[in-house]
Amino acid sequence: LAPVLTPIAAGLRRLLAPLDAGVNRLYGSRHNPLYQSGTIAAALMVLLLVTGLYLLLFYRIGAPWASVARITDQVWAGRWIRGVHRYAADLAVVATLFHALRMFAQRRSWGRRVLPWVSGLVLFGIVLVSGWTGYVLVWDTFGRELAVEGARIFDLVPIFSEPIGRAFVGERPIPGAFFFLNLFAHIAIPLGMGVVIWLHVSRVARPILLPPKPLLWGTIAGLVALALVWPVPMIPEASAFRLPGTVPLDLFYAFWLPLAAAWPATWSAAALLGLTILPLLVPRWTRPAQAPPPSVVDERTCTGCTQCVQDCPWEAIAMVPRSDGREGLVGKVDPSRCVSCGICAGSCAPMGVGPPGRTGRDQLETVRRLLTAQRPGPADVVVVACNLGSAVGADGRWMGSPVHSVSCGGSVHTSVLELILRSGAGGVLVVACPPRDCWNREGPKWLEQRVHHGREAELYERVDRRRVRIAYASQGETREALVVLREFRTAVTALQPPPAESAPDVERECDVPAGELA
Amino acid sequence: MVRFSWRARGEVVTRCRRPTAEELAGTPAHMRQETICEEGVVAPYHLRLSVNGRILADSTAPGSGGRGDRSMYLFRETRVTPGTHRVIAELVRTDAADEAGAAGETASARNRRQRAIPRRLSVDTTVAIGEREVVLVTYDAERRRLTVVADQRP
Repeated sequence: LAPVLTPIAAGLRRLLAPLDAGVNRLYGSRHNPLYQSGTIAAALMVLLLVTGLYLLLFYRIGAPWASVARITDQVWAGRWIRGVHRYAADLAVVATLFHALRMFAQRRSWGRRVLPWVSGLVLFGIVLVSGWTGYVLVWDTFGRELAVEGARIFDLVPIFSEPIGRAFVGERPIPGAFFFLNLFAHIAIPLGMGVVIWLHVSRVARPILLPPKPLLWGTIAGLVALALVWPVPMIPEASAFRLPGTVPLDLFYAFWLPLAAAWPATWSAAALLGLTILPLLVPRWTRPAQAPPPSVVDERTCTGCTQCVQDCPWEAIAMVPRSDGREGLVGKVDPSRCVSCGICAGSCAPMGVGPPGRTGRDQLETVRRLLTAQRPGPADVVVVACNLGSAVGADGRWMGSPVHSVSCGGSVHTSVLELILRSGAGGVLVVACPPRDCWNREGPKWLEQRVHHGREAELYERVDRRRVRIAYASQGETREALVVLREFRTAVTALQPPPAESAPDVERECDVPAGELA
Repeated sequence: MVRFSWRARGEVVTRCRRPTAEELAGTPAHMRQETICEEGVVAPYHLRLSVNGRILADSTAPGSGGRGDRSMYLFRETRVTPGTHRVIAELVRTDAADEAGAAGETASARNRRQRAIPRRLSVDTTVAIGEREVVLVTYDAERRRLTVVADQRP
């Protein structure tokens, strides 16, 4: 399926690009809910827990439908809290699916990301099971349909002493144990979600679990408003002796119900099995034939400053005792944890770490070749662009400017920016992904701090900051990037032309002189 | 809608025989038995369901479970228009075993036979079914007969 999935992922990226750009214009990239789908889903789980606790106070196993009807009759609390619970559950499905689609589109599911991908699928399964059990708890006609069709599929598994479906045919009243089990599952399964969420983020450094406050409270306020304006109605009570007529389905959870009702149970089970297994195989199918090589630490150059350990978004670098006889510690990359983002290359002042061919020294060599070939002048702006998710893609020229493409904005060594300027270019524009949509996590954040806030490896004070600009522009924001480029060109042209150096040496001081490293 | 649904325990038939003298001689003294019985299977029953003369089932009803020695479960639904409908359900044992029990029947075999459904279960009735109503044809284990159940609520 790999040849099929690759164009599907590319197509999804093309769909997402204008969508992201449009929402960025409305909310700004920091509060773009499309970038925050994962954290929104996590926040909704908390909201579901809180509203669910209230509903639990009034729910009765012995009279499920009647007790929910009484909750709905509480105009001042129960009605809208039930509405928030229901709409939050629906939004959780949308947010989780969107999050998974984005990860799939950006091919962020293989290698180090297999565990987050698989645990994310488990979380999605938990969301669905929680929703199904929640609807069954109400025991209205929709809940009964879910139970009956679910039982048909379950009854294919020959482990029950008698078919589960018999409970709903009317031979005897539904046993209270059935609702107790449902309630138990509805509460216990989401509580177990905490462990899976921990697994989900266990391989990343500094995981973000909640959206920014304005987005968080805005989402909650929106759900409350929806629940007030459009209260969740009571559907007629389920009865084994009365056909329900038209059953209003919640398609977020019951998208499969019309098909399951029309199909034989074996078909439904096969489809369910397929829908479970296929996403689990996505990491295998999206893995590139040749994975990019992991970072390597050059022990001769490493000063043991630990900056790469601090900056690595995947906790792939650890400090270990040196093996070259010198005292102190040296960075060591765990290849199984490294995604080859190159962010460590941008963090290392003496340029002693990074993926092969993309360390700070390698970047300088590449840029020197570019500058020699294109010879930018005082009126020119050189563009350094992330080639994964930003508006500017490959090497070459873009809108009249030379382009040096990198694997991540956060992988750019600040010496590269200095070299470009000291070679005579009027300015350097770094085009990175919006911070909440960095494919490698945290790249734009570290870039910003290294250029403007003195984070190691910082852009030296001697570099004129008026000639350096960072633009955050996603794939759909080419126009915005172009506007920044034009404004920056105008600003640069107005400055005094910089003195061009014929062979500027910008390499950092390190324990071993650069000449000896060759 | 007419729904046929029941759980019916068919009689489990076990074939037993007396061991031969050679078998007894080859068996340790503490393991010798008067009779050797095979694992039982549910006796064969024939199921026939029809609504207004339309046959819904006309076949052997097997016992459930991997060995076919557990209860027979039935679940069948058919949609009908509102009105009166003739409903027939039959579950008839098709082997020739004696209902009164064989001579020399063991206590456990007698117990199984008495807990099993009768040799013949049948219902042949006309039911009135309203709009969106469901009528259930099921087995009443206490009265040991097939019954028709409709919603009791007003």
